[in-house]
Amino acid sequence: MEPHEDQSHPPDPRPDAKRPVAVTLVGLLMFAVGAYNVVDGVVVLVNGGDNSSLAGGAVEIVFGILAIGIGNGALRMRRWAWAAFMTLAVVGLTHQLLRNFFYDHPNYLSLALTSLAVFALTPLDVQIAFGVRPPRNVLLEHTRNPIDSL
Amino acid sequence: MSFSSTPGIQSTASDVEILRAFEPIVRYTQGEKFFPMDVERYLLASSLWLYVPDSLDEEVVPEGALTIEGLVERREAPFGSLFYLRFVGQLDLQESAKALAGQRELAKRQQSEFHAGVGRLARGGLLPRLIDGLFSLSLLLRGNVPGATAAAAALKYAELREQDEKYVYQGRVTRQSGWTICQYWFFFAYNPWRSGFHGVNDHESDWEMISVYLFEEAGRLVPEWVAYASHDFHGADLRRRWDDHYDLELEGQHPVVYAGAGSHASYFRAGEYQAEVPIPAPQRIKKLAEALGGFWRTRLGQGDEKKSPLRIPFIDFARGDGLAIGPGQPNEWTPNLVDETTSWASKYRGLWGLYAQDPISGENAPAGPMYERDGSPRPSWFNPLGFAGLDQVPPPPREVAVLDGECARLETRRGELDRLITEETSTLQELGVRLQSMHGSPHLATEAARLEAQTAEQATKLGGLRRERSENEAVLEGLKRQIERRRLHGPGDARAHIRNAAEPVAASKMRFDRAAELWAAVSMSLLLIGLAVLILVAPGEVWAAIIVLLIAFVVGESVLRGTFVRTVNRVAVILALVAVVVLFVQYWELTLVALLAALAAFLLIQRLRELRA
Repeated sequence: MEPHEDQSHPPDPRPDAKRPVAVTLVGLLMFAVGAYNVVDGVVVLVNGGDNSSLAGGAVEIVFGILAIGIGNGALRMRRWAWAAFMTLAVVGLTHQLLRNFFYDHPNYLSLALTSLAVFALTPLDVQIAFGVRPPRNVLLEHTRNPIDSL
Repeated sequence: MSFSSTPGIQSTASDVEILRAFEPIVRYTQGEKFFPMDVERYLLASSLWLYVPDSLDEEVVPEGALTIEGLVERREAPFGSLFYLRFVGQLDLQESAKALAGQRELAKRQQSEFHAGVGRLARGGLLPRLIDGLFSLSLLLRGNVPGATAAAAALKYAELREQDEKYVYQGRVTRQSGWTICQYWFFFAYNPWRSGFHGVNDHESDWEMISVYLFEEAGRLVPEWVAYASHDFHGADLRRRWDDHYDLELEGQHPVVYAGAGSHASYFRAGEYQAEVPIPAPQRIKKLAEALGGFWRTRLGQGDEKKSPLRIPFIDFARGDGLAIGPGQPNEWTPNLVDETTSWASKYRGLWGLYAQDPISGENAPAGPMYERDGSPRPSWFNPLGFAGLDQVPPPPREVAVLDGECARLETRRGELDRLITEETSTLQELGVRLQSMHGSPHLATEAARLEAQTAEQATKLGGLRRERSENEAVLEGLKRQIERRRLHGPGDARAHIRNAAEPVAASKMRFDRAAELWAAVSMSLLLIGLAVLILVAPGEVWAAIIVLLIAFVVGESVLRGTFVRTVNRVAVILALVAVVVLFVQYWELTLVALLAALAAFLLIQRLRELRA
């Protein structure tokens, strides 16, 4: 049975949370990706074109702003930033993998960078630092043996 | 709740008196249809059958003619055959419909209907529900107890109960290693866990047991432990000490048992328990699943609980809000003494209900209290102490004596070891000196080699003695600490022996809102319909669409269940693992080059550091 999400999360951000190096790298990467998308989107809008490319440019700008926001949240160790990044990663990875298996031209660089970022943000310590999971000593409460939690 | 000031009973009391002094109070769940009964009436209402592989089952004694004498009569049968009882005969369509209608009327008449409550369906995720569905489907292929049998059994049992309402336990008093053990065996006509309470299995007849362990002190038998048979647990985890007020509820000298609805498993506390049933799988698959689980938990940082994916979670409802049987309750027990001389227990090795030919045995009836289904002796009968992990525990009055005896033995051995170590050290030194004196004398080479081997052997022997002395010292210290603890603090922590305890599932984890419940009820069907529509509408892109649909279902479900953050991480990790494989296949040469370059750089840095050092 899936446990309910723990309701006893510490306040966000956790006062003693120290930012792991991997998180800094992921945050900066998100900044870079976001900035690239915003600039590229603006260029597309300025150059004009048919409705489809204009819509593409607008989506790119929105995505870019979102990525910058998430990068900023990640650097500040916000819980929502972690969840938002994982959600984006699911969408991005699904998109690229489907392109790889069923369509053409997957973006392997995006696939590699997103995968690395997922692995960087997944370790228990990183999740604890983000406040996504309770600290290790609290984890013991999930065991079925009451004497373990003494 | 009242506690007797002088616990226990005179040790000269008869077995029946001892059993009655500690007989349990069993609280059943509202909706329970079967209660402990006597075997004689069950036999009279049953027929005896013989199963022989590759032939039709043969009726040996018809219903109404079966007595205990008839049951235990010696009968020849070929290898692979099996005797079994049938409480409910073969039902045709009309009889089945009649039984199902009769059961509904009976439930109304008895005003004892079971309601699982909101949240039952949503307790398991998408995967457990899929496995649950497949498990239910597997019943079509495996042997099982036919659908209306539970209803017919309920009607038949209700009739027997109306004729003579009595609740019976088969009581056994046995004495082993200083303990007096009271076993209370409960026999039920039917186990309707699957058909009545959304559980794992149904089978005709059911045996459950609880034990009370007594020790003798000052002419009295005093209760010390009580053990309840339960799903998932064994050995010491089954027992609770008499003063364990966290788990054990006592009314006077009577332990209170909360029986699982339909399963009749025994629990110490009222509640709803998550029982896990292992999926039968070959050892290799189990090991692979364990290895993958370990990689998932430790390397990928997922999950804090060790859960095998090869288990199906089910709920056992032990609410205790139904009929209560026992001392001081509206319904009292009728005890029946049972021991090795009781013929129906010792001489009949067949099953006590229908042999459904289920290869994983879940739907086959159990054998009697003394035997397993394959006719081998049942450990809880012949080894009641080992059953609760008490075979290594002396009765309290003997504990200090056992500790003192062990201390004395170790102290004696310490003296012996000291003497041996002195002797063997002296021998080793002599050998060493002799060996040293041979150096520089080539004509003594052969003798020196022999002496060298002897010296090495002697050194090993001496090392062993020193290790034993050191280990004994540590054990001795522990024993002395235990004696001291016992002297100062009595018997110590009542729960120290428990490694895994059944805990009722917390309400916060048990109850989901109506949206989650509705989703849980319809999601599997919706998913399957969605797949069918995709195959029809977009046959060219069906695989891509299936993947998107599955991910959407899993993530959507997690939102309703309040597990979005954890689920989205799990899905991302799985996708990232697939991406790694894709990238490796696409760029394996580049990956290999990068790995070799990284290895070369690492080794270079290491060696350069050594050079600088």
